[in-house]
Amino acid sequence: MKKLLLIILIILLTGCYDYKELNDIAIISGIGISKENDEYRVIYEVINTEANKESNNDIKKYNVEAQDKNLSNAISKANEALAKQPYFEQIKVLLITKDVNILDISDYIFRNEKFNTSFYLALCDDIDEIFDYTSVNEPNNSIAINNLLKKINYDKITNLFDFNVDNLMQGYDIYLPYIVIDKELALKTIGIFDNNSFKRYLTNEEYRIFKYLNKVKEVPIINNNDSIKIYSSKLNYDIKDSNVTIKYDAKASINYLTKQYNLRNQNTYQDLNNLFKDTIYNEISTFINNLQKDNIDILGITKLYNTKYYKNKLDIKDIKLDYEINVDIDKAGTAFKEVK
Amino acid sequence: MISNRVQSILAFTLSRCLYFGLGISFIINKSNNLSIISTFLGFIIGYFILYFLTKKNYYDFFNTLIGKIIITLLSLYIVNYCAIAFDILSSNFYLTNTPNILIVLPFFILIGYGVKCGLPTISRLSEILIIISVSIIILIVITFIPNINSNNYFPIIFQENNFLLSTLSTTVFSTTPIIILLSLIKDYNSKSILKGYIFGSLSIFFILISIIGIFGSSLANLYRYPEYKLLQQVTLFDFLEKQENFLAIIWFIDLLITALLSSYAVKKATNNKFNIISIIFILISYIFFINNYQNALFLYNNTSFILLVFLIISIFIKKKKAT
Repeated sequence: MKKLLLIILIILLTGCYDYKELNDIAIISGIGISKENDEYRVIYEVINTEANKESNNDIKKYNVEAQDKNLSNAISKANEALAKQPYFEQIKVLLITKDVNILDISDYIFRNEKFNTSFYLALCDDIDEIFDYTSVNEPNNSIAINNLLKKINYDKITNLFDFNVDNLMQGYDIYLPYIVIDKELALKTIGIFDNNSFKRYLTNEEYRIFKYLNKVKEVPIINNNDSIKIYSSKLNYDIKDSNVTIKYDAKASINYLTKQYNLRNQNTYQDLNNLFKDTIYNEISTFINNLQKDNIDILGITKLYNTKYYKNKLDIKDIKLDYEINVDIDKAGTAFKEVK
Repeated sequence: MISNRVQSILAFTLSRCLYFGLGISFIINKSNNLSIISTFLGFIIGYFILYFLTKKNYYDFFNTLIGKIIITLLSLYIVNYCAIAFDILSSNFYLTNTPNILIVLPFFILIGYGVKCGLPTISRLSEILIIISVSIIILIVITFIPNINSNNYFPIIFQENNFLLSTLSTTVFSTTPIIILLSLIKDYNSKSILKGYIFGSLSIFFILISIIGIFGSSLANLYRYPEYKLLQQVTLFDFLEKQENFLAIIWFIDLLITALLSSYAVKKATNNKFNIISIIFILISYIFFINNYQNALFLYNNTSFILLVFLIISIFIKKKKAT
C-alpha cells in the first residue's frame, strides 16, 4: 500500500502531466510588436533547439509572425504558427516600434502567467530588419541586444519592463534604447517618451551626455580638442522646497591633450579640473534644460520630487534646477608630457 | 515530548504560513508604503498577545467538546487555505496544464500520510526542512539589499482605517495559526514559541521591506503574488538567473508543515471520525474553494476577520497554565 502511494505521489508530484521534452518547446528569446494598418504585428525570435552548436551551417534561430487587430489574438495566432509549445520564460527583449502604445500591450503581458516580465523594452524602426539580421558575433539577436544594453548600464532592475510600465502608470516619463542595424546590430541612441507617447530620439551629443550621467565608463569629454574620460561618477539630487540641486561628482583620467601642460605640477590638475568642470556644467545644464523645456524627465527628478512633496506635485518644467558639478582628474595615464 | 527547538521551528513556520498569496498581498493593498510600519506594529501587538496566550492552558481546554470544535474549525480553515495556496502556486507557476485535482490530491495524500505517521514525524520533517527554508531566506535578503531603493518607501500617506486593518491583519495572520500548536503540546515552552514567532515575523518583515524597497508599493500592488515576483529578481552570484521556481520552496515548506500540523490537530480532536471528516472536507475544499476562484477571493478578503474570531475566543479562554 505504501509503495503504491509512493508511486502515485512520485508520478503526480514530479510534474509528469506537464512534462515536455526540450525539443518539443519553442524557446522564445525575443518578441517584436509593431502596429501596421491599425493591426498588431507580433514577431517571435525562436531559438532553434535542434541546431548543432558547433556547426556554422545550422540555423540557430527562426522567426514566427502573426497579425491581428487585437494583441491577444495576434499572439494566439503566432503561437499557433509555431510547431511547438511556446515558452516565454526566457524572453530577453521586447522590441517595439514607436507607434505602439506601451500601456495597451502591457495588460496582456502582465496578466499572462506564462510570461516572465523580467525583460527589457527597446525601440526600433523595423522589427523584421532586426530579427532577420544574423550577426557574426551572436546569432541570437535578442541576446545580442541584451549585451548592448549592458554597455550603457541599461541592464538595471529599474529598467525592466514591469518598472517602465509602473512609471507610465504613475504618469512619469521613460526612455528606451533605440536599436538599429548599422553594419552590425547597434544601439544608436535612446528614445524618450512624454509619459506614454514617444517624443523624440536623443541627438548624438545628448546621448553622449546621457551616457556619462548614466555612469557609462570611457565616455570622452572634450574641451578645445583636449579630452578626458570619466571612469567613476555619482549623480545625486538634493531636494529642498521647490529647488532640486543636481550633484554630479566625477573622477576622470586624461584622454588626450593638445596643449603643453606640466603634469608633474599638482596645480595643473586643479586647472584642468576647473576647465572640465565648466565644460561638464554647460553640457549637463543644456541637456537637462532642453528636456525640461519639452517637459520630459528621463532622470527621474520629478518622481523624487513628487515623492517628497506628494501634496504639491509638480511637472519637471515647474521645478527649479541647480547644478553642482565636481570633477577630479587624478590619472594622467602613462605619459607625463604631451606627446607631439 | 516535543523539544524546545522543535517548538520554535513549528512556531516559526506557523507564524509565516498565512503570508503567501494572502497576507503580503492583502497588507500592501490596504496600506501601501505604510504597510512597513503597520506590520511592524502588528508583529509587536502579536508578540504581546502570544505572550498572553502562552500563559494559558490550551491543551486541556481543547480536550473539552467546545475546545475540540473550535480547534477543528480553525485547523480545517487553515488546511483549506494551505490547499488553495498550494494549488495556486503550483497551477500558476509550475504545472500550468495539470488539472487542479491532480495537484491537490497528492497534497492531501501527503498530508494524510504525514498525519498517520504522527507528531514526532512532522517535527522531524520540520527540523530538516527549516534548514533549507532559513538558508534561502538569508540568501534572498542578502541578494536583495543592493537592489533596494530607499525612495520607494515614500511617500508614507496615513489612512487610519487601512492602517488599523493592516495592523490587525498582521497580528491575526501571525498569531492565530500558533494556537493550533498550543493545543497540541501539553507543556509548551513559552520562550521557545515566542522565539519562533519573533524569527518568523522578522523573516516576513524583511521580505516585505524587500518587496516595497525594490518594486515600490504601486508596482507591488499590481502583482497578484508580489512575494513570488520578488523571487524572479534574484540573481545568484551574478550569473544564476531565474531561480524563482526553486526559491519558492520556502513557501511550499511553510504550507506543508502548517497543513500537516493542522490536520494532525483535526485528527486529535476528532479521533475515529477523522477519515469521514477528511473526505467531506476535501470534497468541500475542492468543489467550493480550490475550483472556485470567486469563493477563494472571498477568503482572501475575509480571512483576517474570520481568524480574528478564533483569536478573540482563544484570548477569552479562562484556563490558566499550571505552574
